[in-house]
Amino acid sequence: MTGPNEPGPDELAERLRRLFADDGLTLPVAVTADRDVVGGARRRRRRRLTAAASGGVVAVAALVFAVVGLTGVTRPRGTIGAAAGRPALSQTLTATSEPASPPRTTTPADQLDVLGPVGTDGLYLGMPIEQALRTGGNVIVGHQSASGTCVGYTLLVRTSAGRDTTPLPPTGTAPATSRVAPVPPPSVTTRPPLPKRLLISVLVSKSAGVVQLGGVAGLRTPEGVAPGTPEQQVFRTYHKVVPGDRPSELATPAPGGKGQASYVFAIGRDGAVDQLWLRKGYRLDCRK
Amino acid sequence: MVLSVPTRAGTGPTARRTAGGRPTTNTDDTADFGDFVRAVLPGLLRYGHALTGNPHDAADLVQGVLEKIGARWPSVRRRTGDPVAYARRAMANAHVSRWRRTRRESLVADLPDTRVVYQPDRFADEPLWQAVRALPPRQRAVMVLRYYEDLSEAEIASTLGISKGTVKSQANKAMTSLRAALGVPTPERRQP
Repeated sequence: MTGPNEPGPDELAERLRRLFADDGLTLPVAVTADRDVVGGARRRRRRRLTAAASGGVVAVAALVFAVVGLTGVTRPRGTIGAAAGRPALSQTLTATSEPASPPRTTTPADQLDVLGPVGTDGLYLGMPIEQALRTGGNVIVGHQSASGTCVGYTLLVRTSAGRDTTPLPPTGTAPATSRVAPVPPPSVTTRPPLPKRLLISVLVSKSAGVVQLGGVAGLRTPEGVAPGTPEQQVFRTYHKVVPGDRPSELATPAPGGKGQASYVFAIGRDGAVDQLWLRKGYRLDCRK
Repeated sequence: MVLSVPTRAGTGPTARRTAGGRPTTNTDDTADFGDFVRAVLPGLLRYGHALTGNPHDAADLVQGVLEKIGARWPSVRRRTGDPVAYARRAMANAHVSRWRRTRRESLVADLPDTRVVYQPDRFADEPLWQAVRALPPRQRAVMVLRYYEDLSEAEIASTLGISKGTVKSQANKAMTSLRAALGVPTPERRQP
């Protein structure tokens, strides 16, 4: 019963999936957004507790306040440029056609968690899915289906700093065959604590468990490559550097790793490392 | 995205934390929730954008849901293994029920600065996106849950608190509308 030019059901389903995967859906996040949310939550909690504690007029006022806030009958509270009420969550950071990206800040090496050739923070390549998702108080904060049989998760994991009191991961445990980039030694006196929690992006396939992890700020390789490292430095650090899944990716066998453990670096437009992963193989295999 | 965690003075509360252990103080709870918010905001905003069809409603929806979760963070953390899935369900429900309450089923007007917010304009002009935005809220929610979140019919039904039959009929109506919106109208249609 479809007209001659209308897409068939499967085609439409596929187009819808592609539409919802499109980058155009992504919204820029305002810099103060998280603080606004935490502050708003705190206010709600106080209102709720106040209303519960005292009856009568105060409780009614709190309830009215809450109801008005919830329905937002006239316009949503979060409109851009709204003077009253809470500030907007989503704002333009730039009006150009370039996607908004945070200014590149080079984090000092002792503030980064080390993504070793086996894994990091309790996660390792080949780890079974259930274990990866539940280990050590990990919180799943995102779930996206990737291609083929792979599924992606974003996990909030406790870093080594968050789990015990050992402050710094070991630096430069690479074997003698790899050229180690100089990593500034930790200063003994003033040392800012490592983040206690870290976002890690994890890709799992049914047959092989965790096949990739990393992909976020806050990580570096044992050899010292991290977001912000210039591309030439990657070539200087590792012997064998080959293309990864895309033209913008470089891959290398992870020194000290077993099997097909590889570091993969996404090189940004500025010629420096944008993101890095520990991956099984140079290219992702999501067919099985 | 860089996570920044405020430096915590003193070592008392944090020393009690063990692998897989739960934070035990209010400060830890707040910091925990702050971390959670920073981690989930981009994904939830994106999801909210698909659900509501425009950035302003998306921001509003996400803010409301996250604040409510934050006001009850310790118990949400305790009772849910997957707080972000919980947030998404809450968003789907809040979106549908809000619209039902105000009975606004028309397309949200394009605000003058909408073009500036959408980075690639081609997305805003994409016919399928326009067609999805034009759907009534519950049909759109079913489409998003089905094709954005890949939920099964049963999962969609339980998320929105409706029967599987309703899910099916909403999905059919939505697909029919979308198909019609995308098909180029021809003067003569071949009858089945």
